[in-house]
Amino acid sequence: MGENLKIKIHDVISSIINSYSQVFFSKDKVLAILLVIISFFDFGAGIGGLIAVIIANLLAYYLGYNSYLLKSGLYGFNSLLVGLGIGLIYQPSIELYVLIAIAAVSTFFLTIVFQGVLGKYGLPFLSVPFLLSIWIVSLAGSQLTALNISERGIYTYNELYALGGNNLINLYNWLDSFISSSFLRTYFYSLGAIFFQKGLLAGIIISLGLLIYSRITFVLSFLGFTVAYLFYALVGIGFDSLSYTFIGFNYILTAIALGGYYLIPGKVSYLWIILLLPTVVLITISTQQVFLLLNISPYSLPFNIVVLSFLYALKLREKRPNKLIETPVQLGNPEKNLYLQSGNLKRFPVNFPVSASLPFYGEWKVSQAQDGKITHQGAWRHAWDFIITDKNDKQYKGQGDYPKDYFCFGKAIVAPYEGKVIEVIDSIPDNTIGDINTKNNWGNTVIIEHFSNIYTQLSHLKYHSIEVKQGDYVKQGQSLGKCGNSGRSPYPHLHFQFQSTPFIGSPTLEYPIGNYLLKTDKIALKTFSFPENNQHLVNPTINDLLAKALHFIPGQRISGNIRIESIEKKEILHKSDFHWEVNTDVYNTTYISSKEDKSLAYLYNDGKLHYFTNFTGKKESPLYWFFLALFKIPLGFLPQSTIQDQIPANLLFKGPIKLLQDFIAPLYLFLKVDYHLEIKNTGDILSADDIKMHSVLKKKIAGKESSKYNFSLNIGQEGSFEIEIIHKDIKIQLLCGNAI
Amino acid sequence: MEKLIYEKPVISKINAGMPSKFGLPVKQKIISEIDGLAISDLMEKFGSPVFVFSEKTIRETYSEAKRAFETRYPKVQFAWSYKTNYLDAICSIFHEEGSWAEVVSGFEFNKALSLGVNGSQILFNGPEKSEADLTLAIENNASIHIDHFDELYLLIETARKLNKKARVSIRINLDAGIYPIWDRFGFNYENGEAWNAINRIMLADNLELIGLHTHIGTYIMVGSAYAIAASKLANLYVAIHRKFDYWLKYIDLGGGFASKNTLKGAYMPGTETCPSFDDYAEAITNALISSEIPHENLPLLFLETGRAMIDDAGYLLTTTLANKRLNNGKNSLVIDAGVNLLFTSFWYNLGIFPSKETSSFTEETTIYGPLCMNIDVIRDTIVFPQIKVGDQLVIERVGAYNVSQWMQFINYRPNVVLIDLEGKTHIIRKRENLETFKSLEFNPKL
Repeated sequence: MGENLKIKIHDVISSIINSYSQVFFSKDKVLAILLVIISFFDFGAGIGGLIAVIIANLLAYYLGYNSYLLKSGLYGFNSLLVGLGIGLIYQPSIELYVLIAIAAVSTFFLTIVFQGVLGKYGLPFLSVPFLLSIWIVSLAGSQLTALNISERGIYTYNELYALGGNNLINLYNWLDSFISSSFLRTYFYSLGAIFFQKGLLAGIIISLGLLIYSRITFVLSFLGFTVAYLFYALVGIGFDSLSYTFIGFNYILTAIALGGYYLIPGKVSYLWIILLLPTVVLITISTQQVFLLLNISPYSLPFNIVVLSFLYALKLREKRPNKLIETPVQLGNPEKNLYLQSGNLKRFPVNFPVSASLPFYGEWKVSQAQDGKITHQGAWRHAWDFIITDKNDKQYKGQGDYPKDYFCFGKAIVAPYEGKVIEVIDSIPDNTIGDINTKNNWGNTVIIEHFSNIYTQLSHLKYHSIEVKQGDYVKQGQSLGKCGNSGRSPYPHLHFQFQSTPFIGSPTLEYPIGNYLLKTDKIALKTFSFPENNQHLVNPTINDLLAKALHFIPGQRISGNIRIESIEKKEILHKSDFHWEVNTDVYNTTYISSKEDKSLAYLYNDGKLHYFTNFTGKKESPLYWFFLALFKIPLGFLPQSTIQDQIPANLLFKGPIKLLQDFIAPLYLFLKVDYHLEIKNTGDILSADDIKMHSVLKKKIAGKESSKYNFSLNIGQEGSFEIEIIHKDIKIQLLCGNAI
Repeated sequence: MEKLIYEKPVISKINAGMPSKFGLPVKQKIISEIDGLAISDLMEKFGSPVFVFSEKTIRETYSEAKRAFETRYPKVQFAWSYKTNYLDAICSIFHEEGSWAEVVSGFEFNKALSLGVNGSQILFNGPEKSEADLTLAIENNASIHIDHFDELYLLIETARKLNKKARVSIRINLDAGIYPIWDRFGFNYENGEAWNAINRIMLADNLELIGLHTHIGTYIMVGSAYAIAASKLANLYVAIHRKFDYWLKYIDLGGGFASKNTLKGAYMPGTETCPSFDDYAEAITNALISSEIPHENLPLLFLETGRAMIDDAGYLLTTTLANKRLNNGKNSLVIDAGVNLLFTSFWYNLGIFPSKETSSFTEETTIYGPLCMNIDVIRDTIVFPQIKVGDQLVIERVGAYNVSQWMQFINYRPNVVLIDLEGKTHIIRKRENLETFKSLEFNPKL
């Protein structure tokens, strides 16, 4: 009972605190506390804000809204803004707080409504609920005669003295004289204005908070403001006008939202900020003219219009974007999003709902890859042709005069991914060698719909060999037919392509193959990659033991112990037990959580690969080492094969160098952590033996190796893990298995 | 002008076709080199007779077989049949290519272990397994293929004593539509004996049933027999799942693929009539894929083919000892390699070829080995050109069984040489000498 209450109190506090930082899309506690302090610069307004936040969060809690969003502060921040806004207009009084409470309730419901409506389009509700509420109150303002217009702002010194005595006044004066640049002053004023503050101090504290929370956000706030400032100067809008400051935050918020939060920060997102901000300025100026007639301020309307329209426009892109990527998993911090994405671009499943395997058995060769010289051109450039060759790179035996001489002819073609058979053509005879059928270009063909707008087409199949019919639902790996020589096919081969429409010969879609083994001298696993010309490829086979050991089931408990020792001194530095539990969160993501230090390791397992997608919590904890050791493990049977990846740099670097990297991360990543896994012994295809692996993590600064971690892993028959990590003089041993 | 080779004059009856005035010319195939190395050089270096193996051929044959199956079926694993040829060097090549080991005795088991094969990658077949052998197999986590009930009881007993789980599979004999039916190995499919065995194994505490094994015969000339065998095993595989809600891990179709040698009594040469790996693979994989087994539960397919893998890679180089005309006027040759080295000559009409250009005139010849035994006939009748004493001959396709079933008789067993991928030669088994035998013998009289 006591434990439960503690959790509840903790949740209540974080929902309130987060409502403050959420104004800057953040859940950073430091930033939140600074913002709370600023809100109380005006005590009456501060109380108003707090009342509004508490009301909104209580409503969300008792009406049973999503507890994750509640804790994140997403249900509270609009009410907070309304509370602060109204609180600043009027003198503190009972009537005022009643009004704030009413406005907070209506804002809360507007929040829910907009969350529902905009959520359908995958869009955030931003501060739209706040806008509507504050306008309602402002428009009604002149009739609310029981409320007195606030006199604050007139007697600034009195207020400061009340807050912090003489020292605060001195600081205020010093700041006022020290920061004389009108550019900087306006910047700080604008930042403060987001929290309805008028002084420089509030702006400075907020910008400090932003810097602590995220370097990228800080840079963006500056960038957005600068661009707007320059544009003002260019088109000759009076800048110092009073109306500005309560409007200028639009530029800052737009830059933060689009430059790094809702999109992965990068050169391109920065460039778009530069292009978009003049538009925000124009919208701001024009809406101001309209709203002036009503005697109210447009507040954050320009920001809402631009961000929502831009995000919506981006969503309608048909081609898989590799620039301006919408943040796949919101970690609530632009740096973290960027670091995660930089390593995960290829392996992240969110971008690729279809994880196709090769549509055949055994080893085949790419005879024509994408942008091929022969036929894979123009609209059909993203396709592959596959053949089978022998050790001497010949694709047929004997003279190769007949289709049956070709190794690939008559071999089974299987479904690359589950889906519904949309189209089957099975009646085109196979050509004699060298001849082509230009009338029925694609020959015998199967088209499968895997996902909305993702289809695969398999063509030139053998005459009367197709085993599926239209409307069949096929599973991945299910036999479809035989490789043949029909259509525009001078010699037997398989044509394979992704496309976004269900027709034979549709233009191709640039889409990678989910996972396959690339055979050279060694075997390398490729995930979400594009096979290239003359590569030899094969599908991996799943190893039952690995598949079982790395299949973490929600509710599963893992326990074990860790021992850290110094190699040279042969002395044990640390020894402890740990307990973990597997869980899933609201986004259906599975994670392992540690009971001892509350660390979380998020993972993904598509049945072919296990990978940890992210780690949050205490670094150098048992779960942290577990996360690094098992970062990416193929479940296939691949002795002596290797796998390469990159671990988000923020998980291994810290200190000044990491801060420096944060600043320039969108432009250039000079910190890298290379992950290299080598499978020594995968047991065997019957999974009778333990699996031994070795992985190396190399920390690199501007391409130069700075330090190295060596991991040895042993996965036993009962799914037990034995991990040994050697880093400099430290040896860490981690043993864990299922807890009963 | 080069001096013409002298040949003794022979009078022979012309019994085919219309001859020219020079008689009936036949283009005689000759084998003058193996992987680029001249026969004469090899024999000069390693003596006569000498077995020569080509690593290149072994690897090419293996990859051909592998490609045939792997491009048709998702999970395939070859296991090298040790009894076919268990020379260390040969086994190692197969293991390097990815083959597991299929052994049929404690000796072969230990040999596989000594080559670094992981115990769990050994399939232990055969009707002869002592308690010691079974203990060895259980300790090494090998897959034990049970042959008969008495072995099953012994295994249950042994596993209980060791208090360890044994991974087992059962050997099944079945009617695949061919003759003879090998019913002496394993449990019968048609009369329900196999089910009886499966029930007992599934209920035994210390046994884990992981696979089904059959081996329908040897030198099977039709792929369809394998298709029948595969579909019968697939039925059993599905039935076991139905009854026990448990998927076995593999189906092992054994070996028995024919090599390109010609069986005695065959009308056409083996090169024309024997199915290729593709034919066998097509039959087996089609049967499995089109069976009732859901595709995601398709078992791992084991193949233990030995003969077809290695026969082509082995040659026996031999020297003509004598040229002799028999009483009936038929020509005969005596060579220095006898049936003690060529066990397969009892089944095959082995291909024997001169190593250098001969005249085009041939006659029916009998080729004898050097043993002082009447049965020592390598070829009863072969159409052969004139050969002189000392001429070197090459016997091809002798890679399978000969160097495991050979006998030491009268003379020492010869060198066995491997030509590696770079064309370098290695002795992989040394010619025996007196010491070889002395070291094993004890004489109470001395």
